[in-house]
Amino acid sequence: MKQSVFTVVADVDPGRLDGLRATLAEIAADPAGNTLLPFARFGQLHFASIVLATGPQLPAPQLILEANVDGSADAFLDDLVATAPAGLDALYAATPGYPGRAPEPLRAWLEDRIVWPRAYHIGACGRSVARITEERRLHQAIGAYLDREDRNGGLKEVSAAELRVRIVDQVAAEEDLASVRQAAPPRQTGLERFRHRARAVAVVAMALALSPILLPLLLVVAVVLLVLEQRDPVQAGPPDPAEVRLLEADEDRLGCVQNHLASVIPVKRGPVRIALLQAVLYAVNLVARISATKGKLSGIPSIHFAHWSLIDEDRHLLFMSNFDGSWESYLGDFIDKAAVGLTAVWSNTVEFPRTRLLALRGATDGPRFRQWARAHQCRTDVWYSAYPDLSMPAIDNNSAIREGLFAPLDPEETQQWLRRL
Amino acid sequence: MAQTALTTPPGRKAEPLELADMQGLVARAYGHLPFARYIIGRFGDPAAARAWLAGIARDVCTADQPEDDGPSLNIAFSWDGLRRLGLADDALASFPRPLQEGMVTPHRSRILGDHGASDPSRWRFGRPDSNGAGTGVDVVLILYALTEEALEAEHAARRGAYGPAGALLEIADPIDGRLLDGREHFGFADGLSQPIITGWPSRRASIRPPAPPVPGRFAEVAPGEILLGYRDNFGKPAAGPTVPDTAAARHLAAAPWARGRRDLGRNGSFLVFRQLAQDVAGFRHHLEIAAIAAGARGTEVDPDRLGAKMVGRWKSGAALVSSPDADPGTVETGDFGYHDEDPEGLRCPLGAHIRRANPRDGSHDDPDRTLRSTKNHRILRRGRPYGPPLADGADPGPADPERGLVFICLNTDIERQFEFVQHTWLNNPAFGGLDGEVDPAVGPQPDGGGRFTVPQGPVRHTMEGLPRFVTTRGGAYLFLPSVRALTYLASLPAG
Repeated sequence: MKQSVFTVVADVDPGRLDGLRATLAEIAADPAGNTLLPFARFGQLHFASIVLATGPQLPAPQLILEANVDGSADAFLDDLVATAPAGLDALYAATPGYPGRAPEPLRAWLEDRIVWPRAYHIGACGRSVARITEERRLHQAIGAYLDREDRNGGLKEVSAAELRVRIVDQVAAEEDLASVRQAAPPRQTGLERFRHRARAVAVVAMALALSPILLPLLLVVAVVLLVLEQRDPVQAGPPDPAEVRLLEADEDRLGCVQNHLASVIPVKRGPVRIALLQAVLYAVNLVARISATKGKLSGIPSIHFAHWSLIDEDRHLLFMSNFDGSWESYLGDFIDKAAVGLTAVWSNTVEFPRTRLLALRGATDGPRFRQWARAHQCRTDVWYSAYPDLSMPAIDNNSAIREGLFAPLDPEETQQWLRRL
Repeated sequence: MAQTALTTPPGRKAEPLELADMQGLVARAYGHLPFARYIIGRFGDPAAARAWLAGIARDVCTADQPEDDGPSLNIAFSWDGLRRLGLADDALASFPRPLQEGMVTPHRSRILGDHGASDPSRWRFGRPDSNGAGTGVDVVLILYALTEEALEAEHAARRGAYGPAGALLEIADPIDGRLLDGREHFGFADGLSQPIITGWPSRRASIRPPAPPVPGRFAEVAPGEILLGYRDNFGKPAAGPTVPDTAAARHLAAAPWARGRRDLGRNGSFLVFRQLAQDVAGFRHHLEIAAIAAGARGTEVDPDRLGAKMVGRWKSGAALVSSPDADPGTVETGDFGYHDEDPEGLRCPLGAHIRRANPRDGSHDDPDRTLRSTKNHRILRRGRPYGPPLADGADPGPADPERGLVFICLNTDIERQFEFVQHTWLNNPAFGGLDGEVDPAVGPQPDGGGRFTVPQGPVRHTMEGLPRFVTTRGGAYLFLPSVRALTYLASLPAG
């Protein structure tokens, strides 16, 4: 199933930030249901955010609308233009050249501003918002049935096989579970899998074929890097406490198990850095397409949607992530589980902690990496999640319950399936 | 069995630990001195406070002293307290943010579970300052003594030293800590499975009934996880507060991470202080109701067994992982894992208190990697119960005094250690793949009651309607200075 991860990035007139901030605050007060841009109206939307980035090196403030959707960006933009013309008017009132709400020019204008990520990860790969929410309903319904039976002594001395039959019968009998009784669609089609693998094979083959040229080139790059890495300035000290307090004010909301992180960081100057960054992001994306389709990215099980894009004519690296748990635990996972990959990406942006040969050290310096990440984080002005109380492992578990519901299971599998409930 | 995870990278020599410069609390919980008092104070006149501090600094008990009959004194300061003492702005700014901001920012209240009945506006002490009229804490004095009389005498002597200028005002009734035979008020052995500092001399290991901490792959952490100035698990010095390199600071070690400055933190730690009231009658009542409900289902379950499932240990402290069926009455070993022994939680439920508070080698991921991560979030606990125990079967009347735990822990990075344990593990509704339940024993349950899943065959049992058994009554983030740092603080020039 197709899913799309993208941002719409627009310039903002620096003289009109106040009005825009008021609009953002109005949307942020109730992201799901506000009158301007009621995100819950878009049934295909998993996560959305709006970030107003005002970095000192940006030529103009950037208004970044993030969308993680089922289906195509085209379909989402169609819906957006049709559903929220007044909201788009308000959101882009401070953007020079905004064409107004006439559907066709507006649609084309938005499409012009789409930035596709250089690398992205989808935790719930191939599962729609509708599927995720109905599988939660399935789990809850089975849970309620089990609790009822348990209270009445109905689970005493029942065998695993018999219990499973009773659960299946119960699901079959409940009217509002009709949709989950159909077999689950595959998370990734054979064609999708083949396409990504074929691309990887082609890339590796090409690299091997070009190795007589590539290897000496890499050697030169390594030498240049070793020099640059001695020279590049690093983050000087802890970030402004007041700024961090502002970021924390939006984090760890009660009743929500997820958080959002956005950063817009200048890429280090010079051709070597941008070339390396693009190459690393290409490789990360390839790995994510092939090996991270079952929920985990580099062993991190808590990421719903994350992506890196180049904006401002490749001079800034944009990162956005929708993840489970606290900022502290997310950064801890970065450091413990993915330091090499993340260092290879972010060492090409300014003030990153001291590295060696692109990917070494860097993020392994936990305290400095955390300080750097906080110092370069942007406030997320608006954030929407279609299922704020669901963690990535819970989504996976619910899917496994549904996928096992009508599948033929042997006794061992039956026991494992029952343990998921 | 998986390989031992090293905390000291090979090739790096363990740093010598300067025990004589550390306060005694680092070394021990004073289990040999049954009477404890926590005095919560605020400084009056700064000059008088400094003079008072100079007077008591030499009385502070250090980690190298053998266990004696006391009385023993330990002392810790909040950031506000240090400011009032006259610590310079640049030194104050070198404290980590949790110290500077304190425990009660709205964000901290959310992650610590301090909402509803635990909201700081209801606290006895440590409430946010409003026009200086709040109950903010400057200093906590911790006294230990062999007898109640000795404790009273010690407190009286300390009080006498506050002087006419009012060096110190006690802003809340002092809290008296007790040893309930090594148990907390719900009846469970407490203080087990503590981290052990690499290189800590074993003859000075913290020994406290009923069981000594067991050295092993699950327990060892680098010194810098608990002690400022030493290398932490990442091999970097745990960076605490620093002061300018003046004559008054010459006796402090250099701070390698801040050129030209001295390390005020070295041999000290950050101390988390929280008064946690426990609803013992409510806890027992809930277990009895749940046991009766189980009886109605035709399953014989006694309340102790349900309690053990919630905690992950029997009352004796024996872990369910090693003794799943009955309480053996003793603790055999603290060196057990979950990954190989009980990945599904059939013995110790995935959401049980001790599995949340220290997930060890985890359940499903690579156990060595998980254990290494877990060790980046350990805390050294030094609390003890307060209030009289509730007799078995007793029905507390309305005049029944409050009881609970004076929670104290030491760590060097409050966000990565104490707050992480509290938020990512204990209070996390999505902990370990669970969905919508928090720690059954200590977690902030939602209005209307929480849920607790007990994995079993063929299908899990769910305990429902769990109320909140533990309520925060006060708290503060404090700095536990070294002896040398105390001397520095006492000699601060008048602002």
